[in-house]
Amino acid sequence: MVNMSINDREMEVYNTYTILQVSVVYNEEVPRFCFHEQLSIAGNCRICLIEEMKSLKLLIACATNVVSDMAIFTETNKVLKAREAVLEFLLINHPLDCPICDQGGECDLQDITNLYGADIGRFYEYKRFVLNKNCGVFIKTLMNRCIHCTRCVRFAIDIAGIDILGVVSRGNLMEIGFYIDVLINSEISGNIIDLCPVGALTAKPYAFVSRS
Amino acid sequence: MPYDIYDTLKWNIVVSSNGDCFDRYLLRIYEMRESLQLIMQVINMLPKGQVFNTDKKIFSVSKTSMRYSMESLIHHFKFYTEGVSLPKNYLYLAVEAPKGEFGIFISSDGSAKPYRCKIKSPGFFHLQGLNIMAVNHLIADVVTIIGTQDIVFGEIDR
Repeated sequence: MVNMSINDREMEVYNTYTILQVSVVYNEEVPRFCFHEQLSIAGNCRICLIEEMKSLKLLIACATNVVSDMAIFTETNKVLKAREAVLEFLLINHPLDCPICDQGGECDLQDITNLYGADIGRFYEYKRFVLNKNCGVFIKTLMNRCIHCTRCVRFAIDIAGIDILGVVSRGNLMEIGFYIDVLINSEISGNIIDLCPVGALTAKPYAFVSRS
Repeated sequence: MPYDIYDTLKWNIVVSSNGDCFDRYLLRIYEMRESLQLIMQVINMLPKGQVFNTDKKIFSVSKTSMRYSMESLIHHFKFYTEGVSLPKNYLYLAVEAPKGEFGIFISSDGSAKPYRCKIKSPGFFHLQGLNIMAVNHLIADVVTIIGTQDIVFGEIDR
């Protein structure tokens, strides 16, 4: 057990916890894209940045273990500015699809942008285009909308045990791809529809039926 | 509070001493004249130029910026489907309505819809005085008394 504090709330927690787990237990809200309770930790979305008083840089809450006497703040100006910047980068290449997107209304990107993002964009260039993947009869893919959280990749590797999804290229060219050009034919592949925080993977049979 | 500049305005408090129906009628007329005076004063104090909130978190996004800005599109979508989420708190705020204190108690559970909303309408409390005011009068006088109490029946029917 270690003593620590989140937003000046003193608490005693197990030292096996990550900061994000502690924040969930104590109802201190930290946004997340790549983190999922059932999957391995990737730490690549950087939206869960928090400020620790003794460290120079911001830490990611999902992949940092708690240490004794940590003083964590989740809503400081530095943190809010960092989250705003992360979201700005995510929205640069996100298509203007909200009105025609099946995820609209239950989209993590929308919710988190509404809570933490800037209210006005400053991007006036052309957006990237990514070809759609053939993902079988249940999964409708619109890879333009992908924010590279890699939840689907980790689900396929860790839980489904099929090593066909992966991330190819880097930077602006980064995209989720198939290592082998096959359909996802695992019987639990439909789970990645719910796993996807945005509208990149949606249910094909249920497309445009209703809005949640 | 909505009474930021009341101390800079000038008006007369209209009172009367007879306390009958004709007095209440006259008071209403004088109150309307005083209201017009207040409105004229406030109109002259309005600042020039565009007075517009630019915080798009709580205000509608312009249609033009929705065509190219992802941030604007998301805020527009969330504004019109879900609405603005208020912090978890409660508030009672009263304004001076023509008939008396008009107050709204509103309580939020952190979502975009109020958890509880209770309206304190002035007419409801005026009606309680009808019993005292109508003593030793004819039934036909009740019509005049209710009329000069200036009750809106929609707000006392609860």
